[in-house]
Amino acid sequence: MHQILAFVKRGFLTWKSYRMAMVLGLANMFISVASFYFVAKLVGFQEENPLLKPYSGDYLAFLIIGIIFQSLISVSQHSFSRTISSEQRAGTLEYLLMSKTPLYQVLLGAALWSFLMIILNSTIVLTSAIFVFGLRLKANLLVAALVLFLAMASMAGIGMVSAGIIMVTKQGDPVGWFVGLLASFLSGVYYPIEIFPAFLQKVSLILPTTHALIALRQALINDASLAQVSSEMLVLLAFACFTIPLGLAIFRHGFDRARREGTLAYY
Amino acid sequence: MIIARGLTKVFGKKRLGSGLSFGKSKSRAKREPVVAVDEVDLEIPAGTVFGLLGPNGAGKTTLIKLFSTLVIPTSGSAAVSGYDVRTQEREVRASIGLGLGGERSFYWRLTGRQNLEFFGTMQGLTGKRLKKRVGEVLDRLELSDVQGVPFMEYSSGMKRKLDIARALLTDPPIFLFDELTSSIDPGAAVKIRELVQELKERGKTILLVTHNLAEAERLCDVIGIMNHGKMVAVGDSASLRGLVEGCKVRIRPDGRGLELLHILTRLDGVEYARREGSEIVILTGRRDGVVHQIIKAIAAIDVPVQSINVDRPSLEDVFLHLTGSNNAPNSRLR
Repeated sequence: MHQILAFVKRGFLTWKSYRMAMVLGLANMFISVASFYFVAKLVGFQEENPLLKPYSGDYLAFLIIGIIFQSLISVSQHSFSRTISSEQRAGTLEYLLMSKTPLYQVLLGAALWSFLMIILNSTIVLTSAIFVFGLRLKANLLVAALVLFLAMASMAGIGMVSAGIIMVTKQGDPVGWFVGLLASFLSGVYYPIEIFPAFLQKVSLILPTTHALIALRQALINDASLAQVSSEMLVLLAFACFTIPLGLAIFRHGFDRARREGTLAYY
Repeated sequence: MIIARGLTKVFGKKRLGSGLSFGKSKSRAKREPVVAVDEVDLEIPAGTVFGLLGPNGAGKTTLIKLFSTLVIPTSGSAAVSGYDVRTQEREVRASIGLGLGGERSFYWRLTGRQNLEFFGTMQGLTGKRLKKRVGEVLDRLELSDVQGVPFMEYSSGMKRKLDIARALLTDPPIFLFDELTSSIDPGAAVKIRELVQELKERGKTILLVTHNLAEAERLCDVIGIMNHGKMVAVGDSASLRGLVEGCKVRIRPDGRGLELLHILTRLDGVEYARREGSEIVILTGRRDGVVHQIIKAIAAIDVPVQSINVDRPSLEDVFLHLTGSNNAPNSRLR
C-alpha cells in the first residue's frame, strides 16, 4: 500500500509542477464538452428515432457517455505501455525493477496516476455537462461504477499485453493500436451499433467495449438495475478473466526477453 | 560475497529494440552474436573492494547487470550474498545497492529528497524510518542543503551523489557502482572514497567499475581487468604490476621527437612507444638489455636528450599490455 501511495504522490508532484499544462488541460476539457453539446444540438432530441429510443432519444447523453467511456478505456489500454516507455526514457525503469516492490505492483502503481487523472477529468466533464449544458441523467451510479470497473479491468489486460510488447519493441504496439481502433470504430462510442450493417454489428459484439457501453448507457440514462445489465456484466467478467492472466503472462515474457537481450533500459 | 562460475552473456543478433520483423532482411542476416561476458570466473569475498577495469565495450557494465539480475545470463552461474541470480532474483535485488551513474535515473521534476523518499518506499522503507534514513544519506553525501531543489537543477556531481545516496538507502551488504566519482569535483571525490573505505570497514562488498586507474589502485583490494568479455587478470595492484616483465622508460628529447619515436618503436623488445606531451614513453617487454639498446639508438642518431627515467610499469601499463588498448583509462587521481 505504501508503494502505491508513493506512486500517487510522485504523479501528483510531477503533475503539480506543470501548472500551465494543468490549466490548459482543464480548458480543453470544457471546450470539448461544449463541442459535444453543439453537435448534440444539431442532431436534436429524437425520442422517436429507433436508434436513440433505447437511450431516451437524448444524443447529448449518448455522446458524452461514449466519449467519457472511450477516454477511460484508452487509459486502461495504453497507460501501462506509456508508463513503461516513460520510465525507460527517464532511466528509472531499472531502479524500479531492482527494488523490493514486485514487478506487477510496479506496473500497476506506475500507471495508477493516469487512472486517477482520467477519473478526475471524466468527473469534471460530466459535471460541466450536467450543470452548464443541461445534460439529463437518470443514473444508477453503483451499476455504472461496476460496469466501468469490469470494462477497465478487461481492457487493462490488453494494456498489459501492450506493455509486454513495448518492453521489447520500445515503440510501436500493434495490439494496442488494433484494439484501440476497433473499440473506437465499432463499439458505438459516437453512434449506436445498430447503425452498422448486420455483419459489422456481429463483429462489434465480439468487443468487450461494446457490451460495456450498452450497459453503461443503460445504467446512466435509464437507471438500469444490475439484473438488467447482467448479461453484459458476465461478458465483461469473462473478458477480464481471460485478458488479465494473458496480459500478465505476456508482460512477464516481454520483461524476461528484454533482460535476455540486455535492452531493459533502452527506448 | 559475489561468486561467478563460467558466467557468460551472449547478446543475440539484434540488440536495439528487436521490434517486429517483416520478412528477412540482409542486415539482420549479417549480424553476429556479441559475446559481452565470456566464461567469467570470479570470487569477491565479503568486505572486499573489487575494482573492475577494462576498455569501453569490455563487458564491465554487462557483468554488473548480470549480478544485479537486470540481464539474464546465457550460461554459467552467479551468486550474490549466497543467492542465485537466476532463481532467487528478489533476494539478490534486496542484497544490492546499485549505482549505475549517468545523468538520468531520477524523476527530474521531483526534488532530491522526494526522489529518495520514492525509491526508499519502493525498497520497503516507510514512515519515520524512511524520513530518518533519507536524512542520514543526504547528510552523508552532503546534499542536505539542496534536498529541496528539483533534480533537474542539480549539477552533474550532485546527480552522481544522489545516485550513491539511493544505493545506500537500505544499507545492503553488496554495492555495485559504475564510475563512482565521475563528474564529482576532487574534494567531493576524496569524501566519496572515504565513504567506500568506511563501507568496507563495515564488512560491505563493493564492486567498482572504473576508468580511473589511480582510484582503483588507491581504493581496491583486488582489481580485475576485462577485455572482450573475458576476465584477463585478477589480483592486487602489486601482483598485477608483476604481470609486465619490462620497465617503463621516459625520455625527454630536445627536438626531433618524432624521428626518435619512429626509431624507438621499431626496436626489438619495445612493446609500445608513444608521445605524452614533450616526452616519449616506452614500455619494454623485458628488462635485460633493452634500456641499453634505447640509449644506443638515441646516440646513433645524435638526438639531444634532457632526461631519461627508468621506472617500474604502472597499472596503466599493465592495462595496456593486457588489453592491447591505446585508449588507456584516466590514470590521474582527481
